[in-house]
Amino acid sequence: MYQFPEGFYTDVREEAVNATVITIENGVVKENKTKKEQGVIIRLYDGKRWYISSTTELDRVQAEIDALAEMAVPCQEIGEDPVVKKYEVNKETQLRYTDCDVSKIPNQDKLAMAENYCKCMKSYEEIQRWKVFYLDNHTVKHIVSSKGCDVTFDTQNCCIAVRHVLMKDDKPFYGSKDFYRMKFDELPGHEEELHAVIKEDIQYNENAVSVEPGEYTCIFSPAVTGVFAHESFGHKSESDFMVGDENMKKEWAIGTRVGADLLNIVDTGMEEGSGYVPFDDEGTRAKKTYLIKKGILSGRLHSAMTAAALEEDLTANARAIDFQYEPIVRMTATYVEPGESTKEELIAGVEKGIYIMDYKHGSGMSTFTIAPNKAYMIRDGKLAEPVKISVVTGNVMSTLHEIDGLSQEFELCSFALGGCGKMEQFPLRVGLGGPYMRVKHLNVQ
Amino acid sequence: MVKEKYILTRREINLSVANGEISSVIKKSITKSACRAYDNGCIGVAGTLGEAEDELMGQAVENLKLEIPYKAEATAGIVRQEHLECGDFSLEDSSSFLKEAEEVLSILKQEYPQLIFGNKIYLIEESSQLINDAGTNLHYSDRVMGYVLLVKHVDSVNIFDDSLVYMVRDFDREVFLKEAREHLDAFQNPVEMPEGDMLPVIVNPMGLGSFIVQNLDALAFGHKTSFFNGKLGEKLFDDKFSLYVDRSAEITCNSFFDAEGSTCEGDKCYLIQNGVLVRPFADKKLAGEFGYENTATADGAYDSVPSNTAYCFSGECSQQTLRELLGDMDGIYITNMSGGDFTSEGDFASPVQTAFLYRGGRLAGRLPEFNISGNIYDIFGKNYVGISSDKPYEGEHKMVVKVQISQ
Repeated sequence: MYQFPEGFYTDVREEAVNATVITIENGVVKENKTKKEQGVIIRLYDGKRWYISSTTELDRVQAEIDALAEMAVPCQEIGEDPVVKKYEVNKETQLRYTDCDVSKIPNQDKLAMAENYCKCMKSYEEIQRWKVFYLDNHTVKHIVSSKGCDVTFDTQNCCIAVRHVLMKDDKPFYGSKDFYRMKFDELPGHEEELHAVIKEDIQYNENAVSVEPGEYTCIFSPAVTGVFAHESFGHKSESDFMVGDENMKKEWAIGTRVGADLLNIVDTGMEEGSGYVPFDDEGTRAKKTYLIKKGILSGRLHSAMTAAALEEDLTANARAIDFQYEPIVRMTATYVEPGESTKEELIAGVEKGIYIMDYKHGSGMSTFTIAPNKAYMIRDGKLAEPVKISVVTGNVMSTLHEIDGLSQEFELCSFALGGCGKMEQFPLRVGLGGPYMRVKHLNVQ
Repeated sequence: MVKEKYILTRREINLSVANGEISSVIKKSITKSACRAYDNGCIGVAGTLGEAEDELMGQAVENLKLEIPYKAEATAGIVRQEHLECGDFSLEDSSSFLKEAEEVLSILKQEYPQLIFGNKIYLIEESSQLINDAGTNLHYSDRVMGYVLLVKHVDSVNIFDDSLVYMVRDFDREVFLKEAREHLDAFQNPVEMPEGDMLPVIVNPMGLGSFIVQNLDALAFGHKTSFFNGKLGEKLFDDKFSLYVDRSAEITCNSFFDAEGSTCEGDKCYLIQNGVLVRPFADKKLAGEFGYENTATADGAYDSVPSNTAYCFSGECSQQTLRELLGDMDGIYITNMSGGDFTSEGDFASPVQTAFLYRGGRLAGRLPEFNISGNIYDIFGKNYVGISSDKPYEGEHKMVVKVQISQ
């Protein structure tokens, strides 16, 4: 193994990725790629600054460790450094997907899987352009540190992602559906679900009218609830934004009321899906963290550096998009916990409002935004005509108090394409979800 | 059979900044190599991280059996090299770069103690190379240095309030600091919105153009799914508005050739000229399939079959500076606008998180949050003002358009 130099904390993260990408566009196979990639990132800390190197030259890891040590200043008490003291020393191999490793599935089986879903697309003359993606990824990470951490674990996904374009009066509508699973044999058999989505898209595109801008009570679907939780509050829970900022520490003190009584927001890497990470990229074991419990600020997300600075516990949220990047504080799977109403009860309580069924993207600063893809008016407690909306906005902090209903129905969503962006690191796989959620006083344009 | 190698390298030192201090020094050296084989209307591709060994080409040839159609010839007989590295800093001398960054951060912290600076400072060297046995040998390299700092006021409860972006080839500390001081002085001076509900905003030239670009894709045109379907050759926008594929050295880290080895004459190809929609953007395959002109817009992952991609576009600059474009009008300089979108009708709306009042040729103060809206044909039609000839902020030309403003 590696010779870690004295006077520093050092860790090495090796990543081996096996992945397949098959793209079929209007019935023609445009891409059929199987790849294997390996890379390494090395981090060395002298108590004041991190020195980091990422490389594809796997035989030069020791040389890179030594070169980083030359740049740094040794600290004989490095073991007493608050950051170093925080690190968990896990020694474990958790290879959950060895028996069902997607890289062992023959390529022709994957191609046949994608072609099967193409049959659905071919059956609609309303669809003018479509793509079916088959995507899989099996990644093994091995993290060792000078403190003694030695963990090996894997993550896996295999997905069918469908993208289609419908036209009406020369105006395009972009529809989509993802089937995200952990194992190849879980992918077949979702044709009816896909047909239902396409039929709804066709109806929506035929009948949608421009919304009358204004303030509305909105009901979010589980996916939209998830993106709301992620954008409006999740990013503010990433504590690297708080380190060294006394005002933020006061404003975001644990125990502060930040939302309605019924609101619980959780982040965890323990749930299978696109937010599953049994260990973070510093080797910390996954945990379940309540960001908000009963409307009260209850926790935040940490790397070892931020946990030490704020004197809080590790949460296993130090993540990087791949070996080329250093881990920074990121979410895993973030969701709102379910409530006690039914979806129908939530809708029945709205005289004039909007149901946001799915979304194109969201964002969250002091104002959060959701750009809906499909939305419907609610009139007299019932779903009514489909409407086209540019953007739904609200003030983050006041909106959390405007939540007045959560459904029992709950869904944790995973996504085949895209992911979360922070600074230069995009896309990172995350999960998000929740129940149907009713929110008052949102601005709709 | 034509065999081809496509090699991308990125070497980089980046400095992570937290609370105005450099918290990490990060070195990267990443090489990505792909081999491609073209035969009988098909393409085989194989890729690896690191250098390509001989067996990788064998894998590419083997992958021809997957019968991925490629109805175009490999680029033949073009030889060109362009190396744009300049400036005082190099990756070999990381200590000079680090010292410069520490000094600049120290100045900013001293002059603006009420502001917190974070994020990254970069020195990046990129190169791309495409060589094939049809006589093509293309090589491009570039180096940029710059600051992408997030700025937050100590009293703010936002995770950040603003950004300070400056990425250029030939970094000049004084030029950066002059711009930073104007920006940060204005940031700390809250002012009221100018009167009126239809006002000129100053934005990145492509900041409001994403909808146009998305609908100029030859794939969308070919399948009649573009918003501009049936409008090729029509005048849709203002005379002053022209949009082109830009493979020139004007854009940093922007190779003069695309992932198929295609180039444009003069490194420039118009899509919209004087308001007229002249052509969609098309890579070599789509150009052949639908009869459009090849606009050198193929891209994709290093080990993918190249595909048509919306990138490297520029708007035609006017002959006027930003100040001249605005004349006596106040402008609203937008630095942070996220979350908005277009509907399928071409109606745009977005909140604006950070913006400044531009008055008398400089930033005069920071504006409260507001919303903007407008239709695509109006924004680039009757409400289009122009793109500045100068690069007043962020090392970029700036576009001025009038939009509807609401609180």
